[in-house]
Amino acid sequence: MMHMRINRIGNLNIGKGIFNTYKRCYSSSKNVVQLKNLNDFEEQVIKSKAPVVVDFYADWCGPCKNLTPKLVGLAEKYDGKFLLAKVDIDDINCTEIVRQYEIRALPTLVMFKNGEPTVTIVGDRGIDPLESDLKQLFD
Amino acid sequence: MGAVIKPPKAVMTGPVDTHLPETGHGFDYDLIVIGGGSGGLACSKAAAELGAKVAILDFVKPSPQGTRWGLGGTCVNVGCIPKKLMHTAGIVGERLAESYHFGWNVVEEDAMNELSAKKEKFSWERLVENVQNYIHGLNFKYKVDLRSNKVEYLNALGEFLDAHTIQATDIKGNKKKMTARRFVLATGGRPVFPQEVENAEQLAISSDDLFSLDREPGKTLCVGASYVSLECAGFLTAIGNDVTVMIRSIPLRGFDEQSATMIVSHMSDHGTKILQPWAPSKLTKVGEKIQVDYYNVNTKETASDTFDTVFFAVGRYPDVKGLGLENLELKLSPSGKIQVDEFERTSVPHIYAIGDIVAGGIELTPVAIQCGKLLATRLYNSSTKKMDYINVPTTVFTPLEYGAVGLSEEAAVSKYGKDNLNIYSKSFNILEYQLPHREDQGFVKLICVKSENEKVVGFHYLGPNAGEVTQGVAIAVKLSATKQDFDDTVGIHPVCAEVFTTLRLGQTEDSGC
Repeated sequence: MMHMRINRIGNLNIGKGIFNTYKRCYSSSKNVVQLKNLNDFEEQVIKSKAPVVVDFYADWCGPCKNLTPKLVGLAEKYDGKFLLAKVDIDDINCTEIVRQYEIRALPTLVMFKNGEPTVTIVGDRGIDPLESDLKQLFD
Repeated sequence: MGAVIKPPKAVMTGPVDTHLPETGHGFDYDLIVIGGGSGGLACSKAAAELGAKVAILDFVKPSPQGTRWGLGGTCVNVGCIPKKLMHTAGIVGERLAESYHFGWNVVEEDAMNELSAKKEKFSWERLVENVQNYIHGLNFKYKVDLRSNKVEYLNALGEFLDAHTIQATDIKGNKKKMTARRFVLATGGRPVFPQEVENAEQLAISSDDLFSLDREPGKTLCVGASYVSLECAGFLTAIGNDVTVMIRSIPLRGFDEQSATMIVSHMSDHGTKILQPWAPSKLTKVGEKIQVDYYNVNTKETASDTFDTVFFAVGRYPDVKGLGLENLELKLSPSGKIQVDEFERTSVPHIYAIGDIVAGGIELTPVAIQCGKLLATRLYNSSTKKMDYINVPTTVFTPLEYGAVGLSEEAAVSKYGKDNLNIYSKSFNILEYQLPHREDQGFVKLICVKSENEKVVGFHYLGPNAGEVTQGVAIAVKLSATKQDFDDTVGIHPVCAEVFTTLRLGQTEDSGC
């Protein structure tokens, strides 16, 4: 079990409220990857040389719908500085990843540097705080 | 499958089986709950909180149309929650239609009078999407809840191999053996498709499918006199569909008959067609539509009509298939439900059952939850408190909402005799309906026992916000309130509910304020 301190909180979904469907935005860029299973996670996140932002989201989560495109935009803007790795928590093959990181609310971002989780952000706080956290990650 | 293995003779000294030790029993778990619905979740969490090592299994067998859903059971996924949200969609439409009279310049006066006008302004797809997104959020929340409460959750179908062993099979076919000191069966029920109606199961849908239907329901036939049928027919009409309800005999059997009649009458006034007493005999696919052949139950006259959707809500059967109960000699009722005593014990001492699956229970979420929690306290906290099934309040969310606690008039007359009852009833005007000139009235009925100081044994309310109104009154009835108590309570003005603080025999109509 990974125990992480939650560092930041913003708008989030813990199973209450009515939300719009999040349309999965598949990006074919080298800066964004959709994680398929735990093995994929080991290879792409733990073993990554560059910092990685893991985005735990669900199709039915409204704040996730707002946040993920912002992240994709930032991944393009800082081309190559970090990898955005997306985890669909409803994907049965990703259950083990979700369990290990004890995801309790959505969206949750876990930022990795050299295979270790550094910062956990729960919720969507808007683009400026997000960009500021990201810059700290790879600078 | 194993041979029938009889458990050791139970020593019943109290509400709980004690033939095996509580700790150090050697089984994998103290408790395995089979079924992750209202009852199962409540019981498992309460038990874990009291220190038991608990696992819960939940698995949804697909409906005949192939619909499945996540953790949480009927209420969350295909019952109370989506129903109430869709009922609300209907009410929002009503308010929208009336809004002109309250000064809003959004919808023109009378612009939403016709069904077609309503339909034009409504997106079924968006309602379903929003409702389903909310439900998925709940599925996730319950998983997180279980983890927080240290209950192990498996998305798997449980089957008894012997009295203390189950086999859990997940969707990929992986099997796992699990043993437990005790079990709670909480697998609930599923909608019945009547076998005597040809092609019912192949062509029609049920409440399992309606709330996630990926196409507009369109012209719909709701077969059944149950609250499921009437509630769904109600909101489907309110959102602009052409809806017919087919009732074989009387609506809402078991409920207060006068109230049931008023509910159906209201629906008929608001555009739902009522075919009573008729029943379907055969369904036939005709292109994209379904032809229904039906007959008059009394005259045997036959007729036929075509619908986009046929919805069956004629009852529910207990979901015991695949549980392996035949391996255990567990007693079932004639209808296939599990027989339990007042402590939720089945005929096998260390196996308990709660919720819709239980014979003689009440099929309501709060009842299952209460049963589950009380059972956990009896099992793990030495409690002797039993579930109280008397005066359980309920509400039917038809367009004219109906809240009730206690006895129907028929049950009260049967129990006390008509001479021993004072029945106070009144129709009343609803203030908010006056501006849009809406003629619908509310109705309230209080049934009091003369020989018991006019104790209130039945409360019935037809009108807006019936659930909110009835919940409060349920507390009064539980405390054995009398007619005098109701009279001594000052009303709140101007609300519908105040009418039951001023009831008089013989004054059955509202004379105005």
